Amino acid sequence: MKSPLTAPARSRLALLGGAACGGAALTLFHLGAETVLGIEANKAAFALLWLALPLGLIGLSLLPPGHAPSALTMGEKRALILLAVTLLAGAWLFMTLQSIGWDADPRDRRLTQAVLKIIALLVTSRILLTILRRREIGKTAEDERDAAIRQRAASVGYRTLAILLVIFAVSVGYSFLKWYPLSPLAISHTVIGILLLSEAARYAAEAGFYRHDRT
Amino acid sequence: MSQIPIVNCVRELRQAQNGLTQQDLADRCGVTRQTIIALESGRYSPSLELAFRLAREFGVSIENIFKWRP
Repeated sequence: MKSPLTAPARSRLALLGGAACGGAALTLFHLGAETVLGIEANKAAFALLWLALPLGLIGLSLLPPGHAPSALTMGEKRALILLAVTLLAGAWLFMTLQSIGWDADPRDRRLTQAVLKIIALLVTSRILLTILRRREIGKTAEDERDAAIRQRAASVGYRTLAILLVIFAVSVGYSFLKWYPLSPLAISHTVIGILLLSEAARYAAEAGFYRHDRT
Repeated sequence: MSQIPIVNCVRELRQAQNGLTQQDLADRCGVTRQTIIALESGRYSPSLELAFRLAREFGVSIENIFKWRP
C-alpha cells in the first residue's frame, strides 16, 4: 500500500518523533527514580532514548538526495548523529555523577549500569551508522573530501582534548576547583568526561566544515 | 576554509559534455556529488588522483582544467 505521505514528510515526522522522544527522555532522567504514570522514570527514559535513536536514523535516511534543506551527505549525517549521541552520552554521565557524587566507586551499581548503557548507546549508534552508510552509498571507498574533512576535524578534537586536559591539570594542581573532590576516582571520571567533550568537539567541527563548504 | 588559489573550469567542461550531470560525473570519478559541487564552486582542491580522473573523463590535460590563480 502506498503511503499517503511524501518521503520528506515522512522524514520530518520521524525526525520530530525522535526529537520528542529524546527531549522526553532527558526530562525523565532529571526526575531520577520517581515514578511517572506508575512506571519508574529512569526506565521510561531509557526506553524513550532507544526509540529516539532509530527514529532519528530513519528520519535522516528518508531524506531524498537534494531534497534535504542542504542535501546532506552521508558524512554530514554521520557527523551530526555522532555529535548528538556523544553529547547525550556526556550528559548522561554528567547527570549520573552529579546524583551519586564525582568520587563514586566504579563498582557502584548505579555507575556501572550508566556506563554500560552509554557504551551500548555508542556501539549501537556506530552499528546503525554502518548499516545506513551501506544502504546509502554501498561499499564504495570513502570520498576523498570526506576523508580530508574527517582528518581536519580529528585535529580539532585532539587540540580540544589537549587544551581541556591542560586546563584541568592546572585547575587541580593549583586547587582552583574548591568544590572538586580531589580523589583518583573523581579525576578518572573527569578525564572520561573530557574525552567525551573532545569527541563532541570533533564531530561539531566535522559538521561545521561540511556546512561551511555548502554555504 | 579560505578560498584556494586554484581556479578550474570543471563546470564549463561538464556542461559542454551534452548536459552531463554533477551526479554522473561524480559516479564516474568515484566521489560524491557534493565533492563535485565544492570543486565547481572553488571551495575544494582535489587530489592529484581525482584531477587525473577528471582530465580522463573530459579528454583533456590537467592544465586545461586547473589553473593557478594569478
